[in-house]
Amino acid sequence: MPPDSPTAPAATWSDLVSAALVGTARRSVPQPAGLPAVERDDPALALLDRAALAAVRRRAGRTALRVPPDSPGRLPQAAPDTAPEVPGPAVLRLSSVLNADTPLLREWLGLAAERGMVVPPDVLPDLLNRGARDHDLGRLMVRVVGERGRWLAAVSDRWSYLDRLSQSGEFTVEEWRAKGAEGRRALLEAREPLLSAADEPLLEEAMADRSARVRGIALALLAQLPGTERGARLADLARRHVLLHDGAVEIRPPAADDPDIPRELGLASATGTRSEVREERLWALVTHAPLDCWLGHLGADPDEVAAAACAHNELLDTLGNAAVVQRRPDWARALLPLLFRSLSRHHHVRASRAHALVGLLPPDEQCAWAMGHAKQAPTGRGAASALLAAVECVECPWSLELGGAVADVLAAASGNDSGLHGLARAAEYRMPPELHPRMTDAARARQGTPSDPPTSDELRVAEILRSLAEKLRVRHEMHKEFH
Amino acid sequence: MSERWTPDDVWALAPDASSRKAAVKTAKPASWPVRGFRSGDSGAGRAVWGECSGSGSKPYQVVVDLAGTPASRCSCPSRKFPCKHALALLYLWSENTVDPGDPPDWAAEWLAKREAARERPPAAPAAPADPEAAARRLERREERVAEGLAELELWLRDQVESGLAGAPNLGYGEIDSVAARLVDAQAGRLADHVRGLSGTTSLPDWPARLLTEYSLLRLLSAAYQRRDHLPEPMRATVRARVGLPSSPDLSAPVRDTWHVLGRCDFPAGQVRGRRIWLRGATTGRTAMMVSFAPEGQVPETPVRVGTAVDADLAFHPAESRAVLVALHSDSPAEPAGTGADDALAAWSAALAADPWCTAWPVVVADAVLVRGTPWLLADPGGAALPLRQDCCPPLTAAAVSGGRPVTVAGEWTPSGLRPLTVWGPDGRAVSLDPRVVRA
Repeated sequence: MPPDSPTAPAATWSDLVSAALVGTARRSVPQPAGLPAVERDDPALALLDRAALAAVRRRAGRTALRVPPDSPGRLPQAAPDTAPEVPGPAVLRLSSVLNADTPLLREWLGLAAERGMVVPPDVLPDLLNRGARDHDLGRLMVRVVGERGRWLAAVSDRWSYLDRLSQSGEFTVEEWRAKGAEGRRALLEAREPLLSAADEPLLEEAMADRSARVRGIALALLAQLPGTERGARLADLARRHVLLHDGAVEIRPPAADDPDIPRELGLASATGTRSEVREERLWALVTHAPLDCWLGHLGADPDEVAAAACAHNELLDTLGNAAVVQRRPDWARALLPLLFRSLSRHHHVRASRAHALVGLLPPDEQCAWAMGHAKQAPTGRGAASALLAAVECVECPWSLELGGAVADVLAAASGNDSGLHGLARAAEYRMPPELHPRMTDAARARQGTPSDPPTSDELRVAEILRSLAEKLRVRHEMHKEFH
Repeated sequence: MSERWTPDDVWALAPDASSRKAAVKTAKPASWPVRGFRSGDSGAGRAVWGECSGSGSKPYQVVVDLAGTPASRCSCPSRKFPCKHALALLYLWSENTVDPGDPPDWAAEWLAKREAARERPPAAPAAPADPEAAARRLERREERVAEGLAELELWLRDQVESGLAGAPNLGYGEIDSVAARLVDAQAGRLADHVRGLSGTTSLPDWPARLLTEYSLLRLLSAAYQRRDHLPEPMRATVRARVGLPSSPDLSAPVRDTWHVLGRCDFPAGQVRGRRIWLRGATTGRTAMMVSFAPEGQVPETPVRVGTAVDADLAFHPAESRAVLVALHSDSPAEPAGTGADDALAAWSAALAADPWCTAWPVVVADAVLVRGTPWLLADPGGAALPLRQDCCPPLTAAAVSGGRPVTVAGEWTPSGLRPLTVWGPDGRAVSLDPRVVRA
C-alpha cells in the first residue's frame, strides 16, 4: 500500500512521473485527463504545474481501506485485570528507573508484586522491552504486567519470552513430550516450585533425553526429591567412594573407565587427564547423592558429618555444594560455620558457596546469622572489613537490627578501612531505607564546614556515606510512593 | 519558600532524572572551594553561589537567585536549565554545608541586575518604535523572499528539464546551497523544508515523492508572485507557508471548550518544535498551538493532552495557528469522534483551503487496531486508515486498547495516520508523544 495511492487514472500520474524522470528536454509533457488544462510556454513549468494539480488531487482523494469483520489481523480482546493499579507517583518512579538502575527496578517490581498490583497499560511496551534484554527482570515482571501484559506479549514476537517465563508448571506428560528441547527444559524449570514424589517418572524419562540441557535440569530436580530410586543408587555408589577409615575420612576416586557414575548422572563422555576425570566424577557424585546418605556413615548427624569432612577441604566444599543443589537448609546450618570460617581466613568468600548456603535459610535467620558475626566483629579499624564478609552473603532485605548494626559501623569507620567501600555498596540496596537520616547525619558529621575543613581522609568517608544516604533516601521515597 | 530548602525541593527543579544523577555526582564539597549564600533577611534577595572545579582549567561560576522564581546562571556550556552545577550547589546548601557570606563580584553583579529588573514595572507590549520604518522593513523582506523564490523556481525548472533521474547523484551539497540561498532571502521556513528533501531519494518511491514536492514548491512560488490577486485567507496561507511572520488577532479571541486532541514534536532547523492540536466543542474549529525550544529543553506546553479547556484563543490568519489568551478551567475529557470516511473528508476540506498542508487532526471513535503491513485503524463499519510506517507497530496504543474499541486522535498525513492520543476503555487519555522525523 504505497502512500498517496492514486484515485486519478493511474497512468496519468505515472506518465507525469516518467516524463519528469527523463526530463522535458527529451520528452513531451503529458496532459492529464480530468484536470483543468494548463498551458505554459515553458514545458518544464507546464509539467510542474500539471503535476501540482494531479498531486493535490491524489492527496485529497484518498479513500478509506476496508477491513472485513473476520480479518485475521483483528486483535482478540484482553481479559479484564481485577488487580489494583500501581499508584501514580510509583508509575512516575518506574519510568525514571526503568532504563537506569537495575537493582532499583528489581526492588520496584518486588514492591508492586508484594502488593498484588499491576502497572498501567501504557508503560507495558517499555517494561516488556526491558525484560526482553534481561530475563531475570522478566521473571519478576510476570506478576506485575497483569492480564493486559500477557495479552500484549502475544501481539509482538519480541515478547514471546513472557509466555515462557509465566509457565505455571502445570502440564501433562503428553504436552511435555510434544515440545522442542528448549520447551521441555523450560517446562521442567517451571515445575520446580511444585515438585513432588509424583514427578519421579517424568524426571526419569527426562534423564534419557537427547538434550544434555534437559538431562542437566532433570538431574538437578531429582536431587531435590527425597526418596527416589536413583537417589538410593547414587547413595550406595557415593558411600563406596567416601568412607571413614580408622576415624578419618578416606576418599577413593572411581576408576576412569568405571561406567556406573556417568550412567547414573547422565554425564557425557569426559575430557581431561585420567586423574582429572576421576576427581570430577567423584565430586559430581557427592553433589547429587542424597546428603542423608552420610548419616550413620560419616557421622550421626549433619554437624558430625561436617566435622569429619573438615579435614578434607574439597569434600567440605562439595558437601556445601550438595546442600545448595538439594535445597537443604538443615545441612546449610551445619556446614556454614565451618565453610565460612575456613573461607574468610583465606579471603575468597566470593568464590565459595557461602552466599548460596546463607540464601537457603529464611530471611530472618539470614539476618540473625549475620548479626551473630556483627557482634563478634572487632571494633575500630578493620570493623567494616570484618562485617562485610558476613553481610555480603545476606542478599535479602536486611532486618532493622542488622541495618542498624551496619549503620553504626559505617558511621564510625575510618577512611583507611579497606572494607568501607564494599560495606556501603552492600548497604545501598539491602539496608532498610528508613535509616537514611542516620546516614545523612553521619555524613554531615564528617564533612566539616568551610571554616573547619576536614582532612582528606574524612572527606573520602563523608563522600561514601553521603552517596549511600542519597541512595537510601531515593529508596525510601520509592517505598512511600506505593502507599 | 522562605524556610531552608530540603533536597526534595532541589530535585523538584531537575529537568530530568539524568541531571539529578549528574548533580549528585557533582555535589562533592571538595570540588566547591568557594561556596556561600545570602539568607535574604538583610533586604538583599536570597541567593546561593559557588565555584566548582571541573575538568577544565577554570572553575565554573554558578549563582542561583532565589528571591522570586528560582533562576540560575552558570559559566558551563550545558543547555539544560538549571544545569547540574546549579542543582549540585543547591543540594549542598540544602544539606547545610554552605556558610553564609557576601557574594563575590561576579555573582553580585548578576544578582543586582536581576534585582533592578524586578523593580522595573513590566514594559508595555512593544509597539514598533517607528511604524513607517517597520512597514518599509517588511516590504523589503517580501521583495527579498520573492527574489529567493524566483531563484528556487529556476532551479526546479532546470531539474525537470534535465530529468529527475539525476537527483540521487545531486549530493547533499547542491540541495544545501539552494536552501542556503533561501536563508539569505529570509525565507527560513522554506529553507528548512528544502533541506529536508535531501533524504527523499533514498526512499523506495522517490520519483513520485520528489515530483510531488517540487511541483508543490513551484505552486507556492507561483502563488506568492500573484499574492496581491489572491482572496484573503489564501493570501495569508501563502505568506505563512513561505515563512513570513504573522500575528494573532488579539482583538477577537474565540472562547470555546477546546478539546486538546494531541501533540507531537518535530525538528525545526536548530530547535525543537511542538505542535498541539485542539478542537472547539461548540465552534467545531481546529486550532494548532506551536512552540519552540532549544534541543534538550521542553517547548512550552500550556495545555494538557486529554483535557478540555474552557479558554480564549486568538488566531493567526493562516494554518489554524492560535495562541492561548486566557484559560478559565480545564478537566479531563474525551472528544467526540467520527468514522474513517468522515476523517478523510475533513482532510480533503483542509487541503482545499491549504494545498501545502501535510498534517491534519482527525479523531476516530470506537476504533480498533488491526495488525498487518501496515497496521490499520478501523472504525465499527470496517472503514480503515493505514498507519504511517514510522508509527508501526503501534504497541503502546494497542496496550491501552486491550483489543477493545477506543477513541484515537491522530494526524492524517499523505503517508498515513500518525496516532497521537488514545482514550482507553476506562476513559483515561494516554499521549503517545511521537517525534516526527520527516513529513
